[in-house]
Amino acid sequence: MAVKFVDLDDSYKPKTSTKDIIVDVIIGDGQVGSYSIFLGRNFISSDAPANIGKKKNVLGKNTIVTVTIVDVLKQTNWTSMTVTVTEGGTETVYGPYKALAENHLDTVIYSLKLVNQ
Amino acid sequence: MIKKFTVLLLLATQYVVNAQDISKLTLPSTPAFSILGFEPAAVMRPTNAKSLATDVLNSFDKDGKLLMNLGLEASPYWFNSHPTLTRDKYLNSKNLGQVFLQTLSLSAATVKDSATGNNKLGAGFRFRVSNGEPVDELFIAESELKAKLKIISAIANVRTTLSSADNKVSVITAIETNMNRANIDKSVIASVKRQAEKLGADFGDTQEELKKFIEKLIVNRDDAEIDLKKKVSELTYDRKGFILEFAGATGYNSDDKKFERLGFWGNASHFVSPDDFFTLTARYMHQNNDTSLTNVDVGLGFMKKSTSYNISIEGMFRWYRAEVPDLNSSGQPITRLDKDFTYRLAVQGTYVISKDISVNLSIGKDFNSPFISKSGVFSILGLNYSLFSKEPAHLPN
Repeated sequence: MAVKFVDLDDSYKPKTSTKDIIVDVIIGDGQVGSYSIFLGRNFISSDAPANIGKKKNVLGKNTIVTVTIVDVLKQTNWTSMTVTVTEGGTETVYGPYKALAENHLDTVIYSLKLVNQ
Repeated sequence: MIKKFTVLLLLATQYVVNAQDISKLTLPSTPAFSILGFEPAAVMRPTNAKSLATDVLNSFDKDGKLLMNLGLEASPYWFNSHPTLTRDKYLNSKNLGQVFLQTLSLSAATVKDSATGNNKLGAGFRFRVSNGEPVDELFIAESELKAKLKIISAIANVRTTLSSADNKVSVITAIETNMNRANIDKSVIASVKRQAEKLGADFGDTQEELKKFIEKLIVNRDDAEIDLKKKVSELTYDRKGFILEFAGATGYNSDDKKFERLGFWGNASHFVSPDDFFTLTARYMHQNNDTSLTNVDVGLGFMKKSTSYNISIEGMFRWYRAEVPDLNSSGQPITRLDKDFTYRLAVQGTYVISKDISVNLSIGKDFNSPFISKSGVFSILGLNYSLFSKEPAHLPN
């Protein structure tokens, strides 16, 4: 079994100073996966939306989303994940990011680094 | 009523009476293979458009002729990625269209008939419109797997946030901190830490070496979960509740340039569990060779399997019509028409007496055939004794 690493970079510009910033993940293709959301190396949440704080809490820090997906479906090797950042009523979508697992039962690890600027 | 009674006592050999003939009441897993009546030596199962293109190209020889004894099975919906199809939607969708797309599989096969030398092609489809629901064991196994993946995500974070200030000690500390914050069990954290410290001896402190070290730690953690991954994958396909599925296939003789076989199947099953179900099957089969044979079958079955016994009850009704080339009393060629109704009834069971011994019993009546005269009544009592096997006696599938 193999592990594939998919490294992704992007940025997020907070929209307000007063609203909480919520990060969530959708794992697609019917596959099994787990995700964790960090602010830098600070763990915020796992397998649930993460409130990473307001603009003043995140500015200059990186939001790191790590998503580990196992290809458990025999009929496909596709894996995918989408990250959404919601602030007030505004939603910013990153992805969907897609990667093919080399073989059935392989693991794909997505790491999305969002620079908060 | 039962005309023959046979007792088979087989010692020191592995003999399994085919007690579970309930498969006659289920749909063929690959209809194209089934309609041609053979299992190809090589079966291609592409999982994306690129591999499908490669497989199709590989199905022809250098002169552009289609190779024989090949099989192809594909699920078109899965050639593309579906990022909005969450695990929950995949497992629990009740939407008829979605279930159809997810379960549709197409199959094709080529074979050279060993008797006539003719090339034959088969094509088939299979889909569900109701897919039951996942078994409870899946959620337990999946939850266990997700807990393991959470550990990997915690380690992967450190890989992404590596800086020039890091060394092995800071990396291991960061992994430990992440796992603590993620509420991972203390004993698991201690175990990962020990594993990391041991593995760390093989790597240096440069950023590149630290990245390799973390990746190796992740790969080792991932490799350790292979059995759990397999279990989740297998359980994904075990379903309970109501399942309604259909299949069809046709066989074409490319030398005689005619469609020789055609089949449609429909099956409604209610699974109390994967080993305990009721099933209703209807099928239409048409065969057009020298003799033309058409039959419509409708059957009901029940199967229950436990660790100590299994039992299946099957009843199938058949209406058939056969057109057979024959000669009349004047020696002139005619087509003889046979139309009739026949049925098959069978009760089959296995009981495990001990680790090495099981008893199998099959009784019933098979279909009458327009071509063979026989009573059709059968009864088989078998004793299965595994003299040398260290494995416990298994129930036949």
